[in-house]
Amino acid sequence: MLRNILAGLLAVAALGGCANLTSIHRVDAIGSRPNQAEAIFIDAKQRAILTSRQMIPDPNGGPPIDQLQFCAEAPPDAFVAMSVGGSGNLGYSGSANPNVQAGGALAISESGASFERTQTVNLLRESMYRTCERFISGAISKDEFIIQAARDQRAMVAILAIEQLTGVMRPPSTVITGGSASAVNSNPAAVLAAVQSAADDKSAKDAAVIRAQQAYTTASATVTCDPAPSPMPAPADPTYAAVQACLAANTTLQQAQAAAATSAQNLTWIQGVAANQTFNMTAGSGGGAQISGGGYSQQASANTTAAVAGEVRLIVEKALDFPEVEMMCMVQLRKDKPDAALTAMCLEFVKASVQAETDRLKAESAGYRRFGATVTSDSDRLRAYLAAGPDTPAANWQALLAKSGILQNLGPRAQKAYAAPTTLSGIVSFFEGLAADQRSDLLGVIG
Amino acid sequence: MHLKIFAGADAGAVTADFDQYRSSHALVDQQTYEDNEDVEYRPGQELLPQRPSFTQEAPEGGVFVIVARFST
Repeated sequence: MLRNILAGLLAVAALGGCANLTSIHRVDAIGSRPNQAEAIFIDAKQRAILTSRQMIPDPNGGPPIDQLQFCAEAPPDAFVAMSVGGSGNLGYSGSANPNVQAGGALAISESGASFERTQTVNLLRESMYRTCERFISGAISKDEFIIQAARDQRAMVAILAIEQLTGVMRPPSTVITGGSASAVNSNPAAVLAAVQSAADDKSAKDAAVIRAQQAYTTASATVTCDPAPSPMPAPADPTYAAVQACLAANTTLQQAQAAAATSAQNLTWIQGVAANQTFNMTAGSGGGAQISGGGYSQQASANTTAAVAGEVRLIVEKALDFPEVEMMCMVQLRKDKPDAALTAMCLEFVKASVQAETDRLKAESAGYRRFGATVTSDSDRLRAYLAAGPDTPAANWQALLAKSGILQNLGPRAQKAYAAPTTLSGIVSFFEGLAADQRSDLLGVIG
Repeated sequence: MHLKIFAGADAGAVTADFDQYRSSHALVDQQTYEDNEDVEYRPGQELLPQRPSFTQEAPEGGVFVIVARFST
């Protein structure tokens, strides 16, 4: 019986350690030919890895090369916590009582949650994998693959920028998880009953020992319990009956003591088993947890909306301005055996692009030189500094004052005078009224 | 396999460095390699650099471009 109990417990323990109950690792063949292609599913929780063998031409003119191609799907945004608990048939065999059984139970609880994916993450995960799928399926060539990857990268940068810009306008979203999974609980009542039964049995055995001890004490009061006394009294002798009664009482006492020892051993064992059980594993399938997915609850102002819309439009225009011809030439020029006429055109295109970029930089440089020529006075330097950058002249002025530390040595009244002008002309006018050393301190910060 | 474009303009010096790509080929602009002793001619506009690197001065008012294709 004990072996059965241990076997049951070991089986449950083995099940608890078996991660394959809820995880995946499969390899499925795809296609009709053997070893043609495979889809490999691995856990986390599940993702697919598609593999395919392709015969590609040898660039050195040799026999075709057997090349393995594969596409690994991005893993899902899921994490899973799994717990397994349970008990096998729990019981013990007492000397007199029937077996006490506690019902076995296996509980598997699997809980998981997902978190919100941003659009950029979705695009990254999907577009790259889908492009790979199209390539591995032969729907697009290697050349098209390169161009599409470049398109994906541009789109990703654009969407990431738009996503960050428009986050302030997005209402809060909520990600709802599936909540905890249900699980089967073990039977604590049966285990408790088994413990109680063992305890009762031990009490009864202890009481039997006491009674037997009393009987033996009484029987041995007048005679010596010697199974072979010398001389042996005759059966008709009253002493003979007393000796036999004492011997019987002694035998009963020994049996009661052995039974009590067994009962005590059983109680200790079952108490130990019960102490290691985990009960109340029922997790239920009630309402799921709610996790904030981000976003803002306050309505964005009209000015914010307009500013964001303007920036988004610029980003979209940039993203759509994909240099298709340039990419086509890049693909063409990197070929092992390029088309001669197309290569010549692409080289001309590259030279023209370099020339255009050179001209643009020259024009920009000339503009800076013209601007530098117009900046002659201290006021011009300050005006140029305040007008530069995305911030307002007033903000730049305040930043300049803070950076110079000039206000630290001034009283509240003078500090207020410095902070008073808010327009570009007002600030420059105030600056021109300052002492030469004060203007020099401020211009020293500008550099 | 990747491309590298070296470019210069207005008499600027263009240095194409092949030191780390010794075994690979470079595809050089046809108009500029004709008098260049730093490359070896190959059929189909494919050229092999003769030295780990070479420098070419861009023409005044123009550009000089080297398009190199590396196999490693």
